[in-house]
Amino acid sequence: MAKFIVKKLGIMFLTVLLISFAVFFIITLPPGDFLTNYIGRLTAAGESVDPVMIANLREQYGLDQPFVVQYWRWITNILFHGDFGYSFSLAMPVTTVIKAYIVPTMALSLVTMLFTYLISIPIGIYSAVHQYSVGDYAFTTIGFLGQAVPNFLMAILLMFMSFKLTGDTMLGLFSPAMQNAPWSWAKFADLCKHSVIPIIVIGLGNTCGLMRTMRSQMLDELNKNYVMTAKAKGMKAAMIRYKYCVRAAVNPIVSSIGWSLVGIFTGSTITAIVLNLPSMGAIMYNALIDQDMYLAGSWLFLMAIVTVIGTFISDVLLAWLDPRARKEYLKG
Amino acid sequence: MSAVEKVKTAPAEARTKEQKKSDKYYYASQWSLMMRKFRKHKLAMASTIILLFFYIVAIFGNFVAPQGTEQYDGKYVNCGPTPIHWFHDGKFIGPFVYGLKTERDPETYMLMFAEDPEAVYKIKFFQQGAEGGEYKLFGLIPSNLHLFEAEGDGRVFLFGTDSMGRDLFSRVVLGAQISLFIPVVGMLLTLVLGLFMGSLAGYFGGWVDTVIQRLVEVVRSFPQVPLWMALSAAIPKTLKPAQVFMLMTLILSLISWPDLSRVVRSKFISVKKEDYIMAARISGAPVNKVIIRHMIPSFTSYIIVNMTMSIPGLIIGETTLSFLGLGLRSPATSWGVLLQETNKLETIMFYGWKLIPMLFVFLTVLAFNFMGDGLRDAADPYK
Amino acid sequence: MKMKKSKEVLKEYTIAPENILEVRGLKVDIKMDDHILNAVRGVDFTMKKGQTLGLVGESGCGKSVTSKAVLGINPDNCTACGEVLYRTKSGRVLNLVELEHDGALYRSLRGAEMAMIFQEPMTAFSPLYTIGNQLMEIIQLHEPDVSKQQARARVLEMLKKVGIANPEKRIDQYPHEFSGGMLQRALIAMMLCCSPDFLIADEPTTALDVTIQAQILELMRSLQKEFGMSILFITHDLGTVANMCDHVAVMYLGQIVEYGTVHQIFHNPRHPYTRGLLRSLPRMDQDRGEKLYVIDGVVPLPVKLPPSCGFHERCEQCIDGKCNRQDIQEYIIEPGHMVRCVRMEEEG
Repeated sequence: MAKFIVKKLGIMFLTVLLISFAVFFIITLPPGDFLTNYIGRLTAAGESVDPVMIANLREQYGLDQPFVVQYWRWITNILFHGDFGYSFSLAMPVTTVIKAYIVPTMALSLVTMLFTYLISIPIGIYSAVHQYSVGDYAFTTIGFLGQAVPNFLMAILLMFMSFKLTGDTMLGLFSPAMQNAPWSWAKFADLCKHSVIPIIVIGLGNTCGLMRTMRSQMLDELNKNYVMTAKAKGMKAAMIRYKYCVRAAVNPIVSSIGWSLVGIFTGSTITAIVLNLPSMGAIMYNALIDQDMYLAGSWLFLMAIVTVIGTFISDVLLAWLDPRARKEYLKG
Repeated sequence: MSAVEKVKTAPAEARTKEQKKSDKYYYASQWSLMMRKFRKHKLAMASTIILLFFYIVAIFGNFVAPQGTEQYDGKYVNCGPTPIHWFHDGKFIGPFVYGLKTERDPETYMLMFAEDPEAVYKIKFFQQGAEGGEYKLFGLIPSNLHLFEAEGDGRVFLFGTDSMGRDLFSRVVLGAQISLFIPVVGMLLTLVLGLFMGSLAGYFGGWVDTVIQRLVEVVRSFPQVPLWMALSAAIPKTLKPAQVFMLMTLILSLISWPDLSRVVRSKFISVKKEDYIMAARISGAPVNKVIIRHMIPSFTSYIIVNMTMSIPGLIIGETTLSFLGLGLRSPATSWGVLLQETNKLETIMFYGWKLIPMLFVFLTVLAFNFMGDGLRDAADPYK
Repeated sequence: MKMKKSKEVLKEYTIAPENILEVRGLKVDIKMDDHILNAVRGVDFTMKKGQTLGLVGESGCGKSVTSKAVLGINPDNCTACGEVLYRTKSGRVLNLVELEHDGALYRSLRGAEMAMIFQEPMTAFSPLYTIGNQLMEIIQLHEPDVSKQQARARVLEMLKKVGIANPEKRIDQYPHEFSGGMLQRALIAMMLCCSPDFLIADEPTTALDVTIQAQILELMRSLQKEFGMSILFITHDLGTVANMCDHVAVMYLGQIVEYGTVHQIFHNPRHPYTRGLLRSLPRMDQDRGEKLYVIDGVVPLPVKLPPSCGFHERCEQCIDGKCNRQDIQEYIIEPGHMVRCVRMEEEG
């Protein structure tokens, strides 16, 4: 197992390097470098531009150098100094921005994921065991509907409904009054209240998808031959289901936790933009619009790293859960 | 015994009609079984019909839509849907609309439109040279025939108008041309890329496989949504809508091919071991022939299902990007572009009809999901 | 199959003392999407204690469905009726068709008194648990007092008995680390853990290599001697039947068309179908160039069959007006030899 993990880690590192290269390529795609845009914005705002400072920045980031050199500076700064560059639109180092937003983003994603699994797995099992029952049809319908609504539309609708019902759109994670208040139970309750819509919106698509996957996995397992063997042993049908079928059906789902986390993490982007959540999504969006390349690039890079780590977690989980996969991985 | 032995074959008419029907079922070819099973899936059939209808309307969009993409009417800004009436003064006179007059809401001082029961404008069908103006059907045939318009100064806004006085119905119909075709073109590109890469990796194995697998891994390691956003943001704002369209499909498919190629690869590896493929290879059939004639058909149904199921994601992708202002921009129109206006809460509260395009996104995605589901069930006809 | 009410009072039945199982008029219907398959259409047979009955027929003739109906493990879309009378170890005679499939009584029989070996050992085990775990489970299910160590010791012993080398290591391995033959041995070991009286072997060797087949059959014979089990042996291979069985029932389209001792069936086959099956066996004295005999056509579907002999469409001796017009009754042509063929009428 250790050898397998080390090997996977090695591949991961290579992948991350390739990705960093691609990321840098993408953020330099838009015509003109960010300094030109920056100068343009400053002049438009009527501020004077200090040519010495511009020259310094140009020198620091190697903007007059070829692409490869620019990339080299960028990646070595990240690798050896933990320096992700400077955000021009926010006028602070990218590292500071990330630090400020990473905690709420992660927290929201993890809570959503918890809900997603807690809801979808039991429903999937129920639907499979009671195939073609009223409950199954109801859940299947909800599953289909839930997958058909784009996140942003769901966000708009819920926002609207919340406004109609409570007179509050529940934008952001806190009420304006609570935003800067010290932590207290009231503030926590406020946070919970404001988390409901984001969790529904971010989690809905994923929950519906998982629900359907779980159902079909479970149906597959229920028709496998080993169920017949277990029946012939004299085992109770319910026990067969839980010892054998659920365990087998849940495997691919649990081992996709890594990917789900990524899906939720990044899927929250759009929701965050619409609902004005203090998460990375909204920041990224503005960065893209403003061509704030270091901020956008770092964010894209971080997301990719999360994806790679997620995939790694999934692989390890799968190897740990399924003896067949374990053997295959151990072989190489 | 000899006398009896002469009376041999039993008459076939002893088998009843039902028997013959089920005989047909058991001895039918895979494709006819699939069709049979698919037709039984009522939701999938209904969805297919709805989708066909949408696509036909979209293809003839310029004919169906009363207004062209670039037209607007400053007099009718944020006007609600105009009801179609049939009876005037208790008399049936066919479909018509009343004229519109503006009023100020006494409380909010907002402009409101109300019907003027004096002015009756009949709706006329198949009008040459109507207000909608000239267009080119399929981008080729010049025409100025429109499905309907109100006579004189009458206005038919089936779905209301937007903040620039553009007819929402026209824009939904014309937007469908983009929103319904980007996913399909994107899917086809994905299909070509995915099939090509997957077959290469699966058929040759070895270092080819390793290289492609690494590539797949790298692309898959990119979170979809942010990558979409980043790439779309990189589309220069000066491009023509058609160019943006092409770039967007390219972006969508560049991101989604790895999944398909993984599936194709694993199918290839399992099919490669089958005896009939071995036989074809040993008898010296050229590589491309083995792949195209023998291997791909063995999982065509699987690919069709997979592709149908991938369309909803592409539709949502396009809509979302356009909604965020990262994809197409006005005056080019797609359902996502139309929904940009609903970003503000006030819009939804006062101009609820602007959410109508959402209904179409929802219906289309749902229909594709159901169709895919029906196809998937049908693709496994022996179950 | 449909659930029967569990609190129902079970009727009393009697069967001949030397018998362990009597099946009378067993019918099984399978509900498909848009039609009903009459998979088993009235089957009668008896099984004597310690003997082996071979159930022979082509694929799709209802052999497996019959045996699974005895064990009560058919899927939910199957309905059975008729009588399956079984003598338990305690001497009570039960009509198994009346029992609730998932009920405590039926479950206490399955695995403990009556067991089944399946066609494909590779899929008969769950890939997620060790062989040991899945074997010990059957002991723990039926004998809750047995400790884990004791169960493990018994499983080790059984594995040794079925000829698995190095059982101490094997017991903690997963199914995918076993070969097909080894898995079939393990499956036999599992099913014999609680020393059942009655074993169903559903084509236990078809999925295995020829050399392994012989080993497995030999193993089953020796275990039968040791445990004194009755075996219902399902196969489409007549060669195996001659080796393994005391009696043979030939099934066609959900009915038994000929029943008798091995000697009667092999030396005096009377039903055209049995004859056809025997003629299609390769023989040592066959000429080199001679082609093997083939019965033309395929088994028709058992859907809304008109009154007729199920075999008439493929029969070379079909009598028009009889075979395709009426249901055929059973003819006892000598003690213990039944044939379901209209031509027996003429022959008396």
